[in-house]
Amino acid sequence: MTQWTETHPGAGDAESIRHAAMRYRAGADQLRHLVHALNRAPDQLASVWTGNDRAAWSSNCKADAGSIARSASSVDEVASVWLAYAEGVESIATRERRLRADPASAADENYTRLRLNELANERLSLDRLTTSRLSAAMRVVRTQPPFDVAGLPRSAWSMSGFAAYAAELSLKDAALLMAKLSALPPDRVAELWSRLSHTTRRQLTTSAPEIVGNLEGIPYADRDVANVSRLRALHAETLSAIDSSRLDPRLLGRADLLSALLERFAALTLLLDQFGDGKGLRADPPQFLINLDSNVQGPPLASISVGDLDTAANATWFVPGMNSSVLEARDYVRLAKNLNDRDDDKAVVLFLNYKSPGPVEVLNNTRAIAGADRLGAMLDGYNASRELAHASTRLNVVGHSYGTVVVAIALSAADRRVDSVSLVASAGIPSDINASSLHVDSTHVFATQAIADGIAPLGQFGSGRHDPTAPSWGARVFGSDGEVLPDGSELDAVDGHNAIGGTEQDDKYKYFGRDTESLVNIIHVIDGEYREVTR
Amino acid sequence: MQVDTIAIRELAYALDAVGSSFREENTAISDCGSALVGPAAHSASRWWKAELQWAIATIHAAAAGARMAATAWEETENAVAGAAQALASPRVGAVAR
Repeated sequence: MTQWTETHPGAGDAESIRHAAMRYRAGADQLRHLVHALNRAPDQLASVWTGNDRAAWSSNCKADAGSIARSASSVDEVASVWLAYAEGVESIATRERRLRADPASAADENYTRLRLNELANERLSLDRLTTSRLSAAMRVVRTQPPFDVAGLPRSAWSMSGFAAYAAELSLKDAALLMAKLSALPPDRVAELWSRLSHTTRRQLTTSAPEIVGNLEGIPYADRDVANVSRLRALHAETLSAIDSSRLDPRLLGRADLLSALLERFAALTLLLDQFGDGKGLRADPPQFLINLDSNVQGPPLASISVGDLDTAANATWFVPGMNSSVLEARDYVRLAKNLNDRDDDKAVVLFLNYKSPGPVEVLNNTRAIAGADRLGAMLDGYNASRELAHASTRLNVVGHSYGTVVVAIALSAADRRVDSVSLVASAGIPSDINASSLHVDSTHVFATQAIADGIAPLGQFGSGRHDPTAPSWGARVFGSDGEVLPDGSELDAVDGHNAIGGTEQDDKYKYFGRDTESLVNIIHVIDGEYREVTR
Repeated sequence: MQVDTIAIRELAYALDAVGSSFREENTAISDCGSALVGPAAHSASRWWKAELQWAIATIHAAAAGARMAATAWEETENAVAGAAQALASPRVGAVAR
């Protein structure tokens, strides 16, 4: 290597620079050879390997081939920079040689110094330009893994590398990896999960079911497997806590704690009965336990999808009101079936994933704000999943009573790409929110309140929140007081505040009971048949 | 679903061979004939080395992924064959019936 000086600005060996450039160029060719091998590999196995794992593996190969191809272009660019540098150094060296051979230069020292200074300045510019072009070419350097997960070895930074790395982890390390992944946004999680083999997904699920079951971006069928796998242990744990509570002096006089334990036990018994031994998947339509949060006192928080949310063309989130929990799951499943209207292409999610209020808390927004965060996260997760699948599915949100407060806060906070909203028997909407704040076409925001419903107005009055059926609020109001259709068929009027009854018989005349004007209208909204909605 | 695990293993072997053929070339390129751009030449050389290592690791990982899939399939097939054989033996068959 040669150090140039102001008196020798043409120092340097252009040939050795060119030699280095050619080695970079050869390196780029090597990388392209890898690209070719990775691109061809999936096609070579197309006829002998079919199934989901091949799809994930092929997709990793193609993505990595693209990434290495970009790297090859950068290496080529580095080669070009060095070639240009060699040419520049050679040009300066030639002019320096000519200057020294020039008789005028020998006669005039000042003239020589001046010309050498010019050449030195040119060399300085050339060096700076070369350095900056080199760093620009190297900007594609992988300074982090594709999913920005800290602490992964460099070999795991490519798609194939990540899949192979995850597949080899011990249960303990897989659980640690899941903890890291849980910090990623849902679109990243969705992409990453789709690139893992079936076996690896199962391994990660076994290692950390409480994370997999609740992590947005993971397919709902996998989340169901994770959540259902936890039920038996949680059930046994709760039973043992109840047994030991009899001997625990700290629980003396704490009827609230004991009652929370008993409610938790009842809720888990119900979930086991609904989902244990694959019962959920065998139900018609199939039911999926798509989230399960046991880190609360009393019944766990959960969401149940009635219908396959991974494949449904029409998805609806239903948010219930006060005093709702997993304990009422059976009644809400009937409600969901009514909303599904025997359509296999629909899924209704029962959002029992927030601590609903009792009669006192219903008058303030605290529980709704917490619930809205959880609802928003689930809707964002759904959007990430449907985006990855390039699915143009419909997304609807329906709230009942205090559930309308949760819905309004969640949808006003961000654009959740929702197609329609139905606010049923609202316990009042916070005064800073109206139909146009929900990030939904306001002609697709609907509200209803039956004349016979005496509870909803009390909620609005007691809380100071606003009635969304008021003309000034901006929703399209639909009827729930009974109607005779043009074909002569009669739709029932709603006779109170409840969404659904305690039995199938009791469902009659409820907002979501069969044959009510209210339910028929909500189904029209969910289906996008807005013209069919009666007033 | 259709799986020919031998073909998958052969391809995995071929991918590994492509990756391994570049290990010899994985040397630094640092001499660029000028001391002033020396630091830039060094960082370009380190960068190239890391890129090549990463690309080689990637192709080996793709091979490992294919091989793992083949192993998973073979284990499933063996388990099914083992179960069938056990059921076919007169003693177990009698119990199973």
